[in-house]
Amino acid sequence: MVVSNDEDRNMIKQSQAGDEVAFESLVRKYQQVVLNLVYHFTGGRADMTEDVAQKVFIKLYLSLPKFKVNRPFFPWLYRITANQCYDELRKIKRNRVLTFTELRADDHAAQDRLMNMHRLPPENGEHERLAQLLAKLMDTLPKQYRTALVLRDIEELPYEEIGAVFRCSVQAARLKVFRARLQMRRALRKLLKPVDADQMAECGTEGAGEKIYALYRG
Amino acid sequence: MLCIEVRRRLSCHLDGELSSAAQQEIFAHMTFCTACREDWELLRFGKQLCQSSRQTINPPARFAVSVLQAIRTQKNQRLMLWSHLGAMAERLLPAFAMLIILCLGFLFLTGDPAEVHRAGQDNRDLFIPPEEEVLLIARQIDITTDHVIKTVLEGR
Repeated sequence: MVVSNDEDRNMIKQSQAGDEVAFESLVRKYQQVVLNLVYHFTGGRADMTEDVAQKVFIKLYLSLPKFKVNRPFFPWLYRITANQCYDELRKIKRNRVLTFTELRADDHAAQDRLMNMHRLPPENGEHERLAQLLAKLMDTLPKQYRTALVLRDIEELPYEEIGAVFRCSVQAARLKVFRARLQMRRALRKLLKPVDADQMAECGTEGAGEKIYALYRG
Repeated sequence: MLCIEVRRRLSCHLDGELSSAAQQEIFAHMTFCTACREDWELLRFGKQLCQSSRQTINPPARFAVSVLQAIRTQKNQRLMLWSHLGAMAERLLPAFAMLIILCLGFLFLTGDPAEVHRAGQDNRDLFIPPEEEVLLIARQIDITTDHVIKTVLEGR
């Protein structure tokens, strides 16, 4: 988590005045954060991460004159990043071309192929399979729940920060995360075969994700 | 503890925000309630799934430079668009001026529309029916007899 401070304020002020060197420093400071965020918001689409991150910084540069320096910078950057990512995902969905053979409802392999056609080709590791499963689950969630889950469970932001991103109270941020988790659970239940809770509990905590996934897949 | 209470607290439990007493209560409930245990395991699995997907993407060495380059290109494109619009305006300026002059001239020639309307009304007031016109002419040339008027009218 990067905390905005006086150094940030100075860089923002100078960038607003048209200083490209100051803006470059700002980009250097936040590039890793933005790249990680983009990667997670787009559901692990590594091929588009860099392009989208670049667009985020261009958008940031263009809207910097409107930014009030006394306000926290980080939540604003988060919002710009999230909006840009969802715009890109919408574009991908809009431009997706379906063929008649791929449209058959019973052909799940073709549907999976279509859903993941903009992701990197999967490798044969458990980690990749889990990442694909998560991406599929995230695709079923509404925008704000997806953001809430990324911020809380992937980026591990405190609820105060999540509230600042959503421009709501801490309590409302908690509620959003709670609802997002419930929806995720519902989607998981639909997607995977039901397994006995005892079997799941036996998986323990260390590497439980992989074990439960293996149980579900049979 | 009731199922509804347990399920409401599961998210907090997942964040590790519950007291140890509350955690004990939840675990005690889950030893006999399979539905709540399954909910808990699914929630835990969801969180683990998220955590397992966490990646650190290292920015390419020239990322910041490429961002600045992209910004410059965009700026140049905007400038080019404005200069194109400016050149087009310069070329269209004489035609536009001519159009304005023509419009003004037309207005000047036709006059004020309200006045034109009023003039039309006045002309209608001045209209004289043909019989009255004949009488007027007859009076002018001092012929007043009905016979002459009749002859004139028949002649018309």
